[in-house]
Amino acid sequence: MSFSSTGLLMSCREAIVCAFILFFAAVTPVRASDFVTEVDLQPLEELAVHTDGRLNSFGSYANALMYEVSGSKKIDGRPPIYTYLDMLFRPSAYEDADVIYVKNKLIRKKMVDALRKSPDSMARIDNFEARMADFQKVGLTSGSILADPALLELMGRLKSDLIRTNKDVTSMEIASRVMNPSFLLEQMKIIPPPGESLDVPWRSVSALMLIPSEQDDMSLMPQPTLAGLDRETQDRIADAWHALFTSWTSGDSVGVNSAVAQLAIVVPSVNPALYPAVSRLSWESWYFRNHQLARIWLVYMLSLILLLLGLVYRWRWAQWGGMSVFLVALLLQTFAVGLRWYISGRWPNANMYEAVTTAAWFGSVGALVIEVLVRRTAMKSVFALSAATASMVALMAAYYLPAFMNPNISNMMPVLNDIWLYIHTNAIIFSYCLIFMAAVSGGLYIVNRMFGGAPAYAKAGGAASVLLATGVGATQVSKGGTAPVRRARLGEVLDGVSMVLMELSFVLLWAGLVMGAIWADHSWGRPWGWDPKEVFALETFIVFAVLIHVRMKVHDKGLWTAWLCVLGAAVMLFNWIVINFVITGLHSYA
Amino acid sequence: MPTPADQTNSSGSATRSRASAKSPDATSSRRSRGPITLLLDLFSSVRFGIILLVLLFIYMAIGSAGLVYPVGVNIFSADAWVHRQIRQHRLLEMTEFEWFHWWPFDVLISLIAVCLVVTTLRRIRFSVVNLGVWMIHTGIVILIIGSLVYFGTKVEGDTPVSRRVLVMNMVDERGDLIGEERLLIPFPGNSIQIGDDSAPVTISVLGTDPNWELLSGDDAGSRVFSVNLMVDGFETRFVRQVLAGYPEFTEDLINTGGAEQPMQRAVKVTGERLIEPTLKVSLQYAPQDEFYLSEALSKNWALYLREKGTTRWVERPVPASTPLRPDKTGVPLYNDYIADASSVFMVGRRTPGEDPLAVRVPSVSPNDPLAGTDLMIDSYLRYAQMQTRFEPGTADDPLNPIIDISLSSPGIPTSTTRLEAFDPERAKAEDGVLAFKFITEEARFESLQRPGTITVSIPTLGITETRTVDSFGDGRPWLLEDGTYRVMLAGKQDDLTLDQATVSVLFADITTPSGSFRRWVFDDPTLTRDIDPDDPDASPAESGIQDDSITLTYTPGSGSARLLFVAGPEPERLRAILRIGTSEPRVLPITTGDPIMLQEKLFLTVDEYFPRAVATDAPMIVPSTQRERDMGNLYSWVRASATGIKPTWLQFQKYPFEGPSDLLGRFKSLYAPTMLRVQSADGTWKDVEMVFSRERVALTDPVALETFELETYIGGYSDGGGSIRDYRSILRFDDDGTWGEPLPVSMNKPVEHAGLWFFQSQWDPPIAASRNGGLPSKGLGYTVLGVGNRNGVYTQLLGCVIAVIGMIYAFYVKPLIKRRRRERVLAGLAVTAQSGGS
Repeated sequence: MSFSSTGLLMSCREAIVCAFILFFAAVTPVRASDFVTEVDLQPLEELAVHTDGRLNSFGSYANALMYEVSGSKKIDGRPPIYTYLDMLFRPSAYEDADVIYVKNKLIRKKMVDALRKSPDSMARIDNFEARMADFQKVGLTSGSILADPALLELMGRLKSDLIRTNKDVTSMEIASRVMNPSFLLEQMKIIPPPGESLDVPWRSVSALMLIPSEQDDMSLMPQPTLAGLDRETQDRIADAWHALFTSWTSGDSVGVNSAVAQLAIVVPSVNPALYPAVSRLSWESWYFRNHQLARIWLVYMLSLILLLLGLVYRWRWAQWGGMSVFLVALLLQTFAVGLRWYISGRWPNANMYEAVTTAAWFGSVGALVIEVLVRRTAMKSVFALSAATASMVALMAAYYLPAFMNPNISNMMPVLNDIWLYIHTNAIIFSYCLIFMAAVSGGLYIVNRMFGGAPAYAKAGGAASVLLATGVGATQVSKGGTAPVRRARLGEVLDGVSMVLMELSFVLLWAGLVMGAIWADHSWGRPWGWDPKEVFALETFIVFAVLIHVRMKVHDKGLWTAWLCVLGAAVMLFNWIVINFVITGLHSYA
Repeated sequence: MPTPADQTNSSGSATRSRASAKSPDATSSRRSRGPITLLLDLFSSVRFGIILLVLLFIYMAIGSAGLVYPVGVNIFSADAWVHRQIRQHRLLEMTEFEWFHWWPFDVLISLIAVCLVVTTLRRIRFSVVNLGVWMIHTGIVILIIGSLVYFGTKVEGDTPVSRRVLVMNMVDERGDLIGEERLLIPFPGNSIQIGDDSAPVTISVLGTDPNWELLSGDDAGSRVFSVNLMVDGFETRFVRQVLAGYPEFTEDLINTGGAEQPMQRAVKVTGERLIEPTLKVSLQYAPQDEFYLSEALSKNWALYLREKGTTRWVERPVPASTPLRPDKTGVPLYNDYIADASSVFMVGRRTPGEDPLAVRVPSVSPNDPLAGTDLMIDSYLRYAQMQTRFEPGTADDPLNPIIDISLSSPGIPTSTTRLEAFDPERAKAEDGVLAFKFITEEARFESLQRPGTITVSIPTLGITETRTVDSFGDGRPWLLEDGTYRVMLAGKQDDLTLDQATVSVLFADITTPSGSFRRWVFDDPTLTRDIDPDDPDASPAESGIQDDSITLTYTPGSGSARLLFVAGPEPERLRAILRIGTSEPRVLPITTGDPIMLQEKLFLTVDEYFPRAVATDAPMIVPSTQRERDMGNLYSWVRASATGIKPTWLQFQKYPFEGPSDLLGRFKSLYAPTMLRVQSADGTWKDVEMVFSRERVALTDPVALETFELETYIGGYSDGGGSIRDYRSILRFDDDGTWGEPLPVSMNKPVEHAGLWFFQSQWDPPIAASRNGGLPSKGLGYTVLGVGNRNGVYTQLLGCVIAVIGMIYAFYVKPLIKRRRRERVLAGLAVTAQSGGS
């Protein structure tokens, strides 16, 4: 990328940063230490690091790796890259620091109980009661506590239960392993290989200098020259790295900043041809620093509140305000999806996190298109309301449940590299979002009935109501009428919205299933394998097939439709949550 | 079943029918209807259709998810749910495929199809407006027909195909073949013996390289599959390198002992490419002509038998269990069936319930080594591991002390070790760092704590002196009698295993007035002997004491073990002597089950101690919480027996490989045929090998693997799976004796050949060298292909496409048609009104 376009992108980012300040201002507590605040690690964050077939920004990689240790918790509110370097340079400071996150609350309790039974352990652990109380609440503990002999028997027992608790113990072991300085150093594969081939692995800093040690300065002895690297450049990197280590351990922030700046200049110069665009790395670390922009859920929440007010009280300002905020939220979300696409180099739909967030985006875009089509009917703004709810829930899940929806970017699995798969998964997730939206309008219908709403329903169905809503002989969901008429018509409007969404998801889900079958036919050898995930997608379809036919036979069509829409969404969510986490199958990646 | 867009019409007709049902005329007309009309009415009833759909929903939910309900708040965690697969219940024992192919499902689907046809024909008028619903219903009926064909004829399995096979034979000086041609799959560690028994030649695969670069010849620069073989048995040991497709480049390498580059090309040393031209080795295609049916799809068990010494397995298909059959004449899949509770182990020494199978497995081939003899399978275990278990034994049982210990450290998986005091091999572990001894007198315990000592006695001078072995440090000699006698320690080896005994030896260089020699001083003085310095190659076994003027006695003390467990002298007593991180040995009394901190972050627990252990081998049923989900049937067992054959446990093997020389990387640990001694009717004995595996099906044409390619993301292959972009097998099919054109098969890109589709299924990943001597492998030496048929798939697709077009038509085109009609009618009315008005 040329200098000017990079500069443009950067200034564009600054502008967006300003626009986001309301939602993304740093809220993490800052430790009262000059060193922490004075060091500027951003140049280091924007270096490329090679890991498992990808070039990530070092900032996002540090984020991912520290996640393995502390989960979504930040150590003393410091940025992950700070903790990464601190663990690498001052490992002894972390031996008894409460930094390892234990997710399972039951395990936390069992651990505390086991420690309490051993007077030795209670005496050995500093400040026992306060630390245990914090541990049970927050979930952070230290490597030395995990290694306490009083926990040995418990850990062995938990580890042997492969179904329930093995993964918790394994994640604690991974955390201990990640905290090991030699591991952290080995992972710093920031030095590009020589030549133009993309197949050559990047080199770790450990190839230039052995593990730094607070006691042993000998470990910083220069290493033999690396292939394809001239001695001068290698020495410059090694010197900068040495300077970083010594300034870090001596608490010299000026020295750290100068060493970091030096590294950021020299490392990319090793092989500029292979080095990824600085702008991408820079955006990537910015994206992860800002929680993948998942806080957009707040904007959606605001639009949801306004749209609800508009729907219930028919305040025009609330309707307009709600739609405007919804548009802003959609723009921000589009930016987030686009940015993720740009960073990962592929359409973001390769894991659970991407499936959920992209599905929400599809829903909002779909709602916007439908809103344009129904702008002259009484249904207007209800689609936006449903989509705002869906997106808000999806982004809240992305923000608050990182343990179940890992936000880190990985490569596409080989089996997913297929055009049919792209279409199939996107059609399916779009339909899932529409199903959720239909459940929102269905839920509103039920609430309306609970508050005395009339048992009205859209007589022509969904799309037909919209298509027949204007012109001569318009249906009842057409716009206009006095306030009491409109109020009486609310049930019909909500039922019409549910039907529009249901019909659309019905077609999309079926088409998605068919395309999935075409893909599965040449990927797994059978178009349909009765895998739980596909069976429950079909089950969702069957719920809607039942809905369509039930509507012919029952009197209270609106209420039946609403409940079946909610049931359809429940089956869809069961598929997404329970099938994924409890019953495994072939579709394990999303 | 009309779609919603028809609801105005349909509700209208429903209203009509309700109205008519109430009228007396209608009641009498229903009474007069015949059974066929009643049946047609039933099948064209929307209510009936809805009931069928609801039943289908329930059936599918039961088969796919089973019983699932939450018991915790955190619904995203597996802990929060109770999950039982109903179809895996003992009465059913069905895979998903079997459940969705069972007759109740077929009946349900058929009823839905009939319902769709009858309703569409009887209740939905064929018109432009109703075209959508017609298409949806027709599409689904076509899909059902296609699916009946598809699932009714479905065959699916997989087959491993090696990239090449080594073909080897010996020739005499005239070039005539000696003995038979032998085959060896080129995977590191595989080996074979060729030549006659008097002078066998062992050929073992040292390594393979999937991308060996040709440095000379016309194709210099291109990359080929290369194999390095260690050849042992000729005059000199040598390495032979063979390249696939380039037999002319086959050459030998020999060890010249050079410091810089010990292995040299033979041509540079002897002038000849080959050290042993009588050994012919070439790499040829390794065609696969069978595939094995997938056990994940449905139960396809088989037993394979062969007489010892033969290679080809003879198959006996094993009947599979069918649902709701109490007689248990088929082998099930998910639950344990045990004929004899004492023949298996369970955790915690519990005893399983007995519920035997009665599966008869007759021979089907005249080549069956036990033709005419029915095998009986009486037990099946879903997930078990063969275990040697030591029972505590009684006071009458002989002493046989064993301990089970676990060592744990944070961040490192806990390692468990069993030590058997009386088995020299198993009395130590971790390269001798851990050891276990039984002592018969307390004095021995004292000596075990002390460092090793050496006592020198020179009877003629009346000298007897003792020193610790450690005091010999720095190579300083021990001078006696003013240096007339000198003893220097050259080394020591404690706790060596020698002919089923444990010995310790110290090597001492001794100088006496009459000369110098080396003495091997054993703790057992009868073994001590001198080595002649002039003939260092002389076998120590043949030597004796050359110079008896000086006597050396070695007391090994605590030996080389850093952690020595000592049982005895009272059989129940167990102690440990720890020499980790301490200069003085530390004695630790041991209580089973209590962890002991050895040093910071290193803990030891003795889990069991039996002084009079009695060993028994049996499969141990792994508790369901400790089973790895992705293992399939790899840990399944059946127990087979026959007249004259005692019941024998057989572990499931993914493929019935022909022999150890046939093994491929990831299946290496899985080859373990069970040997049986069988007495024939005529009284003669024969050895029969047996394997429990899957049914095999012949491929229409054999398939060979030309090459295997790995496509990676940036930075090449790393251990993490995220670096792989695609796997590609280049296949060739045997087309009437000639190999066809190379065809690439990669993820999502199968090839079709003779009615079967071939898919990329598994690959051969690089393996690092393992600690227990396993050789590293560069991988890419074989592929595993999925193989399957797909009859009726286009009919299914046609049905789906018609249905989706119908949906779009019904939801979005039909209202437009209606709107246009309405506008036309209203426009007509307006015109009429205008003309009427005028």
